Amino acid sequence: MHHYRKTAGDRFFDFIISLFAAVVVIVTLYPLIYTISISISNPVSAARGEVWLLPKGIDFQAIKTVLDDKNVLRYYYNTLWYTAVGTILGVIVTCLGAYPLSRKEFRHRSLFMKMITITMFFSGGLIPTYIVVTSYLHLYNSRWAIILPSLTAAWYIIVARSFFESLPDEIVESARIDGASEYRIFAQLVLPLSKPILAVLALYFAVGYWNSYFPALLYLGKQELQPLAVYVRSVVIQSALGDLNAAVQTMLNPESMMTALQVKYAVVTVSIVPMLLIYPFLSKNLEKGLMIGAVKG
Amino acid sequence: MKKILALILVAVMLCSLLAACGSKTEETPAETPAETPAEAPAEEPSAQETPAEAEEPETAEKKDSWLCDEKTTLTVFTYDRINNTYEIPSNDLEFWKWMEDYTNVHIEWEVAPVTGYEEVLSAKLSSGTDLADIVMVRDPLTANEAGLNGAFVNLSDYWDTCFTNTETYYNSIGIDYRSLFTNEDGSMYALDGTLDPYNGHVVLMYNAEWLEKLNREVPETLDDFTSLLRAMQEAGDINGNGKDDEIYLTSSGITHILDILGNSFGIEQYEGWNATVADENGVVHDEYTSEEMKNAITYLNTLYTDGLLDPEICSMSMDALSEKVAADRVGVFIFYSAFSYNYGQLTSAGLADPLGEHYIMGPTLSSEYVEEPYMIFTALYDNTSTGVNIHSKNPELAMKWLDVLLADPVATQTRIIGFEGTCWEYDENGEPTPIIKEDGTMEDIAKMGCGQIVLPHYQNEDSLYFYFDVQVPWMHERWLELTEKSPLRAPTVPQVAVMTDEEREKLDLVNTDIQTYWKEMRDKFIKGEVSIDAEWDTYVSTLQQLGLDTFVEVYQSVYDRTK
Repeated sequence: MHHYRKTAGDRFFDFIISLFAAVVVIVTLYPLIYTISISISNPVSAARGEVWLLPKGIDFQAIKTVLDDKNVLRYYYNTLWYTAVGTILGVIVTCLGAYPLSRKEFRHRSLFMKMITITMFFSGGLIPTYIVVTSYLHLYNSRWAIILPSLTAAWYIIVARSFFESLPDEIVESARIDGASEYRIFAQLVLPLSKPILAVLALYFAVGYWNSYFPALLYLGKQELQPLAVYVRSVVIQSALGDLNAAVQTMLNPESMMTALQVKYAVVTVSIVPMLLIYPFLSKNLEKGLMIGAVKG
Repeated sequence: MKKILALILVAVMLCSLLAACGSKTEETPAETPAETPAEAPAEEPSAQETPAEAEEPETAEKKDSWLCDEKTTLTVFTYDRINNTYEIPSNDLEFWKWMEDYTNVHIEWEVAPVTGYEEVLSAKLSSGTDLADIVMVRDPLTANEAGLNGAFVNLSDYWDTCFTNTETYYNSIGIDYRSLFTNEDGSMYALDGTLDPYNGHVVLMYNAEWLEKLNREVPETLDDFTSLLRAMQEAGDINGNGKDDEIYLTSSGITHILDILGNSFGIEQYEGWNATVADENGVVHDEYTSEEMKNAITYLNTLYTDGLLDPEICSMSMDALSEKVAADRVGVFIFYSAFSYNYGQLTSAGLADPLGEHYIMGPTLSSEYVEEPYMIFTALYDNTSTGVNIHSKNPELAMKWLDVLLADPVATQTRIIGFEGTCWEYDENGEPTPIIKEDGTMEDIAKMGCGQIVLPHYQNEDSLYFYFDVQVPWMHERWLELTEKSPLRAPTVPQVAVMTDEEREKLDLVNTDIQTYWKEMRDKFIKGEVSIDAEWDTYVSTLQQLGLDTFVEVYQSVYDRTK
């Protein structure tokens, strides 16, 4: 590696870049830290707006209130189910769609690619999609209404196809010469070399399904099938003190009413913790995968 | 070993996939459910039996209250809850178990979150598929339109046979609610809950501690009110926290400020309703460009410029208001009367004395423009418009069920005050009175599914204060006092829940632009970003160009039709 002496201009430039990056980190990190802090702070301090960065008077009552709701664990289970099943099936379907499109031997790949690309720009809209899912597929109040309509996306197929195209053709040819079937080539040669793209797709699908709420709003009338995102959205958007006679129980316990103001933050905290825990394990592959297609040749 | 673990993982995943299959259920209204509520033994036989009753075998003895001989299932599509303090409707809640027992109708709930409910409803109504027997629409205009488009049953055809309780209730309170929801041709496509106008209102609330420090009373004139705000300002660090953070007048938004202080200038507008007023000759005028509105906005601009009005007033929210009140920063705020005690509880004084009156409600203010202060009725209906699916297999049963829910005396008493023996008991005069537990608390009826529900129901003064009167009697007393000083009255242009096609079409063309421009200019005038004197004429002419005349024509038509 060549070392060279940095000029004053280089150092100044590095400083500006570092400063900018620090600002971005603060802007990104502050809401997260604030949300977690306020959800574990003393309710009175939280209600008075005294918390601005770090928790004031640690109190897990708000978190406990959220976890005490018997529905929350069910919403969590549903979300885990949708995420796990959706991610696995989504990655499989996307790869099965992208791989043939990356093979030059597939004569009609250009036609299929055009058809898939058109869907990136045009769609039927909300009502036709709703009619297809409910009247034709009969998926109303079914978990598969969350999984199937968003099982893959044109963009993901394009990204995966790009990756598969970057793999050396020689590997495939040599395996073919050795008598391997196309399925074997795909499963035992291509996929093991495709870990970065698999990680990227898995993360995209996982985050998408984890945060998905609108399909659940539309297609799931049964409360027991709802995912966590619907619950979080419902709690966060509604005001905590929006009712008349429902506050009877808080008459002698004003702190419980103040906890209600923290509950929004506690719900967000409870819902983001899994993603925060999983991301570090995938970040290395994500960084590799995000640069797919950036360098040609 | 790795392969074995991988195989086990795959097997588990496959099992979970199979577990999800067949989770969709086809709802058939005629199905009888397998279970009925079965809990603790019955206490005493009465029309209002709690769900903790003896086990009910399928061949239960027929009750007079039953709507059908065979247990029948109806599907209901509604939103999940009014706010986070309520439970989502389900058959696990005491009230809905009781309703099933009372009516012999089993409900299958389809619940969508209230945030985003309109989008979901729109998709369902547009597609016409998978629509429940009973559909909560919320907005009466939307419900009526859906009915006119053939989605809902015409309730008028069944009024005499299916809505006997509702008819009796409407007659008893002397307000012609039915006409609010009836089209010109006599059809009516949705049933809405009703609000007793004496239920409550947005009012001025004064910090009791600050009033005491200043040795002042609750003002009754606009001049006294302004003088009070100035006195609070001149007192300096009146909340004693060493910071210059006092807010003298605030609310959850500028709308309520204008609603209540606007009454002192002769304005009738309330919460976006009634932006028109009729004069003694029956001619309707808009309030956006009236001299009264100009005077009111000028006054608010003065308050804002002098630092008496919250600088963040145009971006305030209920939660932001809660935060400021909890920090002991607020001298006067404007909000719903029933919240006077629980906002008071947020303060330091309230934490020490939860049941005390820490914010005192005050009447609207008389002024040089208005000798006799008044408050305008809130909307007479509460946006729980509900229709019956025209393709329902049991439309009459659905209507009767709604009728019971809205106005059957036993059902409404249960909904309003809960269950005898657990929530209330009869006193020596034979009147229901809340049961106070040993720790001083009362049963939380909201957790049982009682109170405000996500289907048509009525709210009135009695329902609101039944529990409040026990612990915080000053609330009701203060409310009665202030309604005597500033009585409630109906607006001159009546509220309507349905409009004719022509009225609706005309209003749809101009309403959004007018509302958007009005709110933008209102905020700018109050904050002083735009000079009222210099720009008022331009503002008026812009509103004219946006179709203000058409707007007024619509409400003239409404007035002529309903006076």
